[in-house]
This record gives sequence, structure tokens and C-alpha cells, in this order.
Amino acid sequence: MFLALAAVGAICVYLRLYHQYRTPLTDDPGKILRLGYTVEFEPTNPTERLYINLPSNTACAKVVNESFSHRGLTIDVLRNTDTSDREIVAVASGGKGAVRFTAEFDIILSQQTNCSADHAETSLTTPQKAKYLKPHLFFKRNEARIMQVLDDISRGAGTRAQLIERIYEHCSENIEQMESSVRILNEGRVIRNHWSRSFGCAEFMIALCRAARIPARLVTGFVLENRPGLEPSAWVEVYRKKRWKPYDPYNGYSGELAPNYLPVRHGGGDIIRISDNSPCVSCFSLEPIGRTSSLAHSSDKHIGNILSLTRLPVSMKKTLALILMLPVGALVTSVFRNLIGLQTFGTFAPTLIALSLVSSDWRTGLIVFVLTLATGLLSRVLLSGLNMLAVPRLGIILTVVILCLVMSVSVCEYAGIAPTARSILLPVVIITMMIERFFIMVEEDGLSTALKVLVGTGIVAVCCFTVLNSAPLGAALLAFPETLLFVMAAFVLVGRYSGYRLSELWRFRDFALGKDVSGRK
Amino acid sequence: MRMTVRRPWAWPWELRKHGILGINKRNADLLPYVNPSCYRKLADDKVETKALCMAHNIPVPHTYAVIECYGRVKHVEDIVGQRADFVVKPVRGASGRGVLVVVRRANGFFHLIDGRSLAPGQLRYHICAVLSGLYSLSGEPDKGIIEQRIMTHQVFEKLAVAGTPDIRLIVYQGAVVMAMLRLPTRRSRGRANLHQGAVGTGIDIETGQTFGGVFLNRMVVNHPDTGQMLSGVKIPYWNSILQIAVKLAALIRMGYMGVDIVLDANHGPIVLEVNARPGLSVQVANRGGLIPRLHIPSGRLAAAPMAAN
Repeated sequence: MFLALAAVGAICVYLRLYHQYRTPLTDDPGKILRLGYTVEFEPTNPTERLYINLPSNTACAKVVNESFSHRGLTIDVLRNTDTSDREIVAVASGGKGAVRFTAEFDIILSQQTNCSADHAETSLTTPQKAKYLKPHLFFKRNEARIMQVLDDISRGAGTRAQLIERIYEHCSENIEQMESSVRILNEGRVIRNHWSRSFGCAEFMIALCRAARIPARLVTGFVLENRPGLEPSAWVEVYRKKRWKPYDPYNGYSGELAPNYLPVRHGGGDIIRISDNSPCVSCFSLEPIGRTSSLAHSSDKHIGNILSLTRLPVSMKKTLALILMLPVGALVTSVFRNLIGLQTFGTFAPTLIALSLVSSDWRTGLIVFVLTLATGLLSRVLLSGLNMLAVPRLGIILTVVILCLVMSVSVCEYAGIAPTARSILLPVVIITMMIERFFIMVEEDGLSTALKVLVGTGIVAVCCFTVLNSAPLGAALLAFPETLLFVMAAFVLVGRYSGYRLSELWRFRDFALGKDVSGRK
Repeated sequence: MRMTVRRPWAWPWELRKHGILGINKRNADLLPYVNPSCYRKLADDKVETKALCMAHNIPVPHTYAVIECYGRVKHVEDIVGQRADFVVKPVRGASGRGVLVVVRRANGFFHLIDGRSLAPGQLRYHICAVLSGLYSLSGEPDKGIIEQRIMTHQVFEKLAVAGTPDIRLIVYQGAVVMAMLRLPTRRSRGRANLHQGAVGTGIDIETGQTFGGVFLNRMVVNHPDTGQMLSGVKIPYWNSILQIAVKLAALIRMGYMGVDIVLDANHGPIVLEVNARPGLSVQVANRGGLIPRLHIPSGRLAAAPMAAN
């Protein structure tokens, strides 16, 4: 049974991986990708504005559908006349507290390899030219070094085209490439240590171009790649012969980019920003969604897509990831109960408590959990004097637990600890039953036994929390739900284990060798 | 007096050498093969077990009433009448939970064996809790049984503290393989369940004489409350006890079970209940493991044919 489950799981994962690597995201013509934005921020004044740049169409990538969710925000979509970039300006529509903006863009990638249609002829006005030649902060801080580098690489470069190529080659070859493109640009280190990320590379190339009196601008966007996590990337456009030519020294593209480059903002930096540079939390996601019925022929709908949970909306995926992790939590509980021999209140109580803390702010959740448990136990002690029947008594405890939770939400909001009810969501029914079982155990087996089981429940819940709090685990289960077959195989192993529990080595310690255990007279 | 311990744990090979049966082995390799679930239900139900015993002339405590619905709870005083002592227990209870032993009545109160006193309302409330399934094995609604209280046999008078001792016999495939005398302590509040703090002592199956001892999973030789030696007590009616256990096991048709028998001062051996999942501390009391006695090889157990009635 174990081998069968493990083998089926391995075959499923292998087939999925094989399929994924055989059909890369960008090599699938007509493939629809869903780009997602999620932004959360808390306005500090009513005039504060949130700016969000939207992806632009290219010859190879077309945005065919877009949707926004902006509860608590009033939005306006503007278009930049210079760059044709689209930008959303959002203002909080009243009320306090955090607001959330989400956007989803369905993008069709074409197999077209020539994306030169993007580089249409365009003329720069004098102010525009001045803007793209203006030495920016990076240049000002490193002027001497940049001029030194420019002197070195411009020797022997006869034409402007050659100079641009040399600048590109210098940036591409001499700056160590890094995996991530988080924009933490330490200008001083770019030259000294030849260290940069995509933004650093781009900024460096722009500085060199402008120092050579060649108009250049930063482009921020996304490289639509089939790998976990999505972060913005940056590349450079250099103006030459009345056209903007793209260069990506970080990924090694010169004059022409790959079809999966999706520009979002030209001549700027961050895709999402707030007017007074207040902090905001933003994240991006990308997933293949196949072809939607409205966009594709029915023959392209593949039943195999049902297995691909990554095609689902982000909010749904978060919920599914939590549900998918439940069996892993149950496995942890099973290991503790059957291999270690730790007693817990209920089979799934530790897992559900851990899960509730994972999906919320665990520090606040833990404090509220302890307070709720203590209040519930106190109410149970008081109720014992009323000689009530079991179900009404449980109903009262449930009510006390719910009141305790609701008041905790209110107190936390008042104190500014946790602004949403979700941050202290606890399994109320589980807590109610735990209170009842604890009380009965105290009465029947004594306080020490009940406390031991409570501590055991806590230990298992902490271990479940540690496992379930792993974001990579959730992502992996969502990408490969068939890996739960391995979890089932592990359940079979634990279920068929007939050796001693760890606790039994302590329980039967008097049988340690060398001791007289005969006991007979 | 407790045995000295060199280290606070035993290695698995040491336990294997003594043939100790662990919970996992019992649950995975033994019970599913020798205890069919249909017969486990019979063993878990005290009313059905008693009916079976009475039908085959096996002595059991006299049943005063079985309370099946809340409507009868208000008549509990009429049911017990003028009886000074009786026992209330859940029909499908486990580990001695929910058992009330009333030893006398005075001023309208029911005085329990553990020293507590209950008003009639509190007694009715306890029975309601039993009916709601608070003490039942599966947590499902249960029935309450009110039955005769057993008077402790004089042989145990020096050993018994605040409760009635019982004899736990482990019957495997129709033969008694291990036995233990369970003695209540102050810690167990009059109950004879080892996990609640009762003390156990092994019984030599051949002679019916006690030896060894266990208290809170540790080997002991003296009673923790009285200091009396646990060994050397000869159990009266030993052969009858063995015969009752074997007969009952054949009737219930389970390959591995625990039979709890009490010795009444007036009526001799009386079957209290049977247990489909008897605990494993009996091994500590007997200073040896069950595995050699169950003929369990190192591998999986094989279900042997049931003993004939």
C-alpha cells in the first residue's frame, strides 16, 4: 500500500514536471497568463494617492482582459502622453484602516519572434530629449567613476552605435548578475564591486549612456517566466535613429527583447508607489490559466487543467493551499500520537489550532487563544454549579468563546494591534470542545493529567504551526496536489508501525537490562 | 519501596527481550485479528454483557435499573428506594470514568466512596451527564446503570483503601495468560484503574498468589498508602475465577480481552465487566511481557482459532 501510493505519487509528479518543462510558458502560442497585482496600504491623510502602472501591449504580448478590485478606493485611469503608459491613480474614499487594491490581467503571448513593431519611429521634443539626457542621481553620486569607465570603453569606438554596444557589453559582462531583482539600489557598490541586480545594471547603463550624451530611459516591467515568484524587472531603452531600442544587460538582450518581456512603466522606477513615499505592501503573481472559454475554442479546453490549481485566482489559491496543508498537519499529529505517544485533546484539534494561527497574526492569535481558553474554563467551572444538560452547557461555553473572540477583535482594533478580524480567527467549536474535555479530565483523572494533555496539545500545535507556516510547502502542494499521495503513504507507514512508542521507553523503563524484575518471593 | 533506576528509559531491545507488548503492536497486530468489531460492541456494553452472563449462570452484580432516557432520571430516588449503597455507571463507559459508588445515605445526601457527598439533584445531574454521553467510549449518548455495590472480601481488608479491589484477567484465545489484582488507593479515589492511581500486583496463574506490583507505571512491592507488602496474598476461589474468565471469553468470542472480577464477601467471584482493549501495565505488575505468553513471534500475529465453549 505504501509503495503503491508512493509510486503513484512519484509518477504523477514526474508527469507534471515533465509536461511543465517540455512546454515552457513562453513557448506555448496563444497561452493565456494571468498577471496579478495585490497592494495593501493604510492612508495617513485624505490627499494621499496611490499610483499603479498597468501593463502595456507589445507586439508579442497582449492584455486581453483586465479587472480591478478596489474597495475603499476611488480610482481613475490616466494615460501618459509622452510614453503612452497607463496609470491608475487611487484615492481613499473615506474611512480609516487599511485598504486593498487587486488587479488581474489576462495576457496572451504570441509565438512571434520579431517584436520590432514596438520600436516605432518617434521624435523627441527638446524637453523630452533634455529629460532623457539629464544626469540622474546615480550619475551625480558617481560622476568621476562613470566618466572614468566611459573614457575606457569609448576608446576605439568609432560610431555612436559601437559606443552603445560597448556600453551594453561592459554592463552585461562586468557586473555580476544576481537572481533577484528587488530594487535595493546601492549606487556606490555598482561600480566598486561590480555587483548589481537588474535595476542596478539598468541604472548603470543609463548613466553611461547619458554621460555619452545618448538619450536613455529606464523601463520597468515583467519578464513572464515560468518560475516561482514574480518580481518586477528593469531594462533600458536607448534612443537612436528616432527609435527607442531596448537593452537588457542583466539578461543579455541587445536591440531586441524576448517575446515574454512586458513593459509597464517607461522613464520611471517603481510600478506601485504612494504620493508621499509612504510604505505599502505589494506583491505580484503570474500563472498560466489555459484558454478562457470566451477567448478560445472549446477544443483547447483540456480536462487536465482541472489538476492545475495554479490557474485559480490568487485569493482562492491561498484558501486551497491552507486546506491542502491540513493532511500534513494531521500527519504531524499522527507522528506525535503514534510514534512519540503524546496525548492530545482530540485528533485534529492541534492541527486546526495551528492552521488558524497560520492564517492569522500568530502572536495576537496565541494571546487571544490563551485568554479565550482561560475565560471558557472559568465559565465552565461556574456552569458546573447549575447542573445543566450537556448541550445547553456547551452552547453557553460556545457563546462565551465567541464573545471573548469578538471582544478581542474589538480591543485589538482599538489598540491598533490587529486591524482585521481575520488576524485572530480561531476555531471556536474546537476550543469549546477542548474546554469541556479539559474540565471532565480534571474531574476524572486529576489536574496534572489534564495539564499534561493540554501541554501535549500545545506541543503538537506548535510543531504543526512550524510545518504549516512554511510558504514553500503551501506553494508546492498547490503546484503538485498529487504530492498528498506521499502524505497518504506516510500515513500508511505510521499506521502500520507496530514498534514501541517513544513514551513507552519511559513508561516501561523499569525493564531496563541489569535490573532485577523478577519480583517473586 | 521503589526499585532503583539506572537511567530513566529502556531501550527497545530491552523491552523486546522482556517480551513487552506495546500499544502500537496491540492495536495494529493483535486486536484487529482476534477481536472482531461486532463482538467488541458486545464487550463495550455492560448491560448486554450482564445479560449474557446471567443467561449462562455467570454471577454479576444485581442490576437495580437501567436508565435510558432523561424522563426516568427524576425517579432515581424511587429506583434506589431505601438501599444504603449502590453503584451508578455508564453502560458504555471506559477507564472507570463516570462511576459513582454510593456507600451510605444520611440526611438526604448520598455519600460516595471517595468522601464526597451528593444531594439528590447532583446525583440526577450526574446521571444526565452519563446519558448525554459525557463518559461514553465514543462520546455518543449513553445509558446509565444502577447496580449492587460489591462488599470487599475480607482477604483484601488490609490492602484495600477506600474502594473495592478487582482482579483483571487477560484472556487470549481461550486461556488466561496474565492476571493482576488491582487495589484502589487514595490517589485513585477508590477506583481500581491503574492510570487513575490504583496499585496493581501480579498474580501467579498456577497458584493464585500475588507477586510484584505496579504503581503509576513503576515497579513497587508495597502498597503506597498502607505500606503492606503486595506479594504473598493468596486469592480465594482462584480456580473458579479462572473458569469464569475462560467461559466468559468463549461466550463473548473475542480472542484477546480483559475480564474484571470482584470478590464479594458473601457471594464470591462476580464479573464486573469485560474490556476489549485492556491496558498494558499488567506487564509491569507481573514483571514480564505479554508477547511470549501470546505466542507472538517477532512478526505479525496470526489469528488462532477460537477456543470452543
